Amino acid sequence: MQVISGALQKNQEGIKPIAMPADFDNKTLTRFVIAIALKRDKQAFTSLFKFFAPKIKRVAATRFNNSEQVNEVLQETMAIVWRKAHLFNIDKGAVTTWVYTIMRNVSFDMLRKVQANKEDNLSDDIWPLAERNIGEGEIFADHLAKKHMLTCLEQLPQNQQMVVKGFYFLEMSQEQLARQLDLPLGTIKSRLRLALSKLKLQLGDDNDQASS
Amino acid sequence: MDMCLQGAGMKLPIFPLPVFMLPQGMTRLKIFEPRYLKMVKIASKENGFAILLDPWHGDSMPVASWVEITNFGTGDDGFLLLDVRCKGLVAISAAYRDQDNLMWGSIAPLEHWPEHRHDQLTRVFSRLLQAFFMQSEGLSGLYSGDFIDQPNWVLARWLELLPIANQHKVHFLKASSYDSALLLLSMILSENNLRLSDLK
Amino acid sequence: MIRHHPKETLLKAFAGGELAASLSAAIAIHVDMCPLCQEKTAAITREQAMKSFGREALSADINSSGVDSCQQAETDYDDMIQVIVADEQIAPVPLRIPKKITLHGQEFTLPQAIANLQLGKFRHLGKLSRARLLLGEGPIHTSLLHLQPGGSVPEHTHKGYELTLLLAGEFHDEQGSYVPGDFMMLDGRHTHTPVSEQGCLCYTVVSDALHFTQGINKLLNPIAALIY
Repeated sequence: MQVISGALQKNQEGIKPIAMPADFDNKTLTRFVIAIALKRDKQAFTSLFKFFAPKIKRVAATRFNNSEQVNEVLQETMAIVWRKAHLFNIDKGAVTTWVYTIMRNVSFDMLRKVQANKEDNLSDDIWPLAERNIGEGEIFADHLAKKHMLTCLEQLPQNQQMVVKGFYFLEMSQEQLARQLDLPLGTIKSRLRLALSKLKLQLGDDNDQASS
Repeated sequence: MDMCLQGAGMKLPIFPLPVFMLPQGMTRLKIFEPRYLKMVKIASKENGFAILLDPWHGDSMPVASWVEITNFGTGDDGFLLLDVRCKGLVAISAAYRDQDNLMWGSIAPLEHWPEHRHDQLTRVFSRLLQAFFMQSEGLSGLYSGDFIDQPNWVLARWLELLPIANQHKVHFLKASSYDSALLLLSMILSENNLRLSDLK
Repeated sequence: MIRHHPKETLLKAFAGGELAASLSAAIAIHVDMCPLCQEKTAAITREQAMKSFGREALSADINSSGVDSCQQAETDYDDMIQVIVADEQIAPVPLRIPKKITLHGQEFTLPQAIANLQLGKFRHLGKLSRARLLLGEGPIHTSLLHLQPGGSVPEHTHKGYELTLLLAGEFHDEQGSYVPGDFMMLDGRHTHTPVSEQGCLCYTVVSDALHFTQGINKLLNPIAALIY
């Protein structure tokens, strides 16, 4: 609250930059994004916003020379962070890179609107945010990310949990599977890995059969 | 099943979701976007809708799960909750978006696995699955106690539940994939690994 | 194997969102097909993000006009945050259904980067067909170019610059043969006469000679054009 009251006294001279946002590390930033994705956490969003806002404005000011457009880039970028937090992929990179690419896309679409008078929002097609193919070996990393989200999920009220799980987590976790089969987690992991590589091998083999 | 082949050329609204569903599979959805509320309205009056695995990893035309609505209600947050069951798989073509940004496509129903009889192995899978259903309130609630002790059904539910990336699951949308499903499950669920030659 | 790649300066401008849509799309298509450039672009993007948003950028803020803008902004921020979080909806995962076109009985799937662009009518000239992609970029014209087997493009000297990106099939010219994903950027000094034995589909970008004299940078760089 101190920060805000300080900022309200706009015209005072000589105030040192007390409004400087905290320097969060990537782990903290990631926690914020997950909290937004799962709980629509407004406090986490506010922290994220105050962290990125001056940075976004500074970069945007090098591209747009009026403050209205600069503010538009800021608002639009952070609105996408709010609405697409669930699409953030922990394994694909740092939060900073993710926000940067969103800002880049927003600026691109805005420039196109100003110059070509086109509102086709091409950036989504040119730089798809939710990337498709997951390479081999990333299956488990992918699952780790889900596991991380699952632990966050446990904190949600029971009924809300069901919905989020029903929507995004139809799968069992590896732990659940291990418990179910009464096997060590390591065994389950190696069985999954082995089974998948065999499946791929077999797919290579039976492509011909399938077509016959 | 011939019945499933009805509907060729029909147009259905499409709901892209990261959810893998085989015939008879069920899932619960939370609907809040206007275009998908519109979809539910149309679906309940007409012929259901299609859930398209998103992102689509397959190397062929997109295959979607054609679903019917089996139950609905309102969640504590006021959003519409919808239980749906997959009636069958359909190939999607000629997709477009309408003025509300809802996607539509023409469907061509696809066959899935032919019927099979239980064998020793599928009985084991069935018992394991029943045990899991009993422990999971979510699952038994969703299926309202219906557990169909039939190999296709059991294998399909396992494939939906296994913690494997969707890009690998898409293979099991193929009609010819029953044997490889059996193989995969045997490697994960049972002590004795099968070999492909054992199945022949 | 893909042998022709965009230069690093182009990749940098692409990652920064500084290129015109026509060129951005071309590089997006190439990057999608070329694991090498994919790696490079990802690294460049991370680097740019660090430079723009990282620690160094932060201290630069404070040293320059940072103090003022920070304070002035704080109050605006709260309003903006309120507006944003009032939106209850979450964005769905975008669905990508491949867009296909059929030309002379051959079916092509268009790359995602151009799948939603408005495509003009195909005009045919012998074995050559061309349709404009309507990007509305004034002097920069973007097209899909199709050659039927045995077709060729009549000898021409490029005015301005030309970019040719092979999407499907093959062609060759005086300098060698090309495979899908090959990215060729030529400036006004080159001439070439591509010939395709089996037929091919290309994505091309051409600029007018008139504007070439202003320097390629201004053309490539919509930001420069906006500011200056």
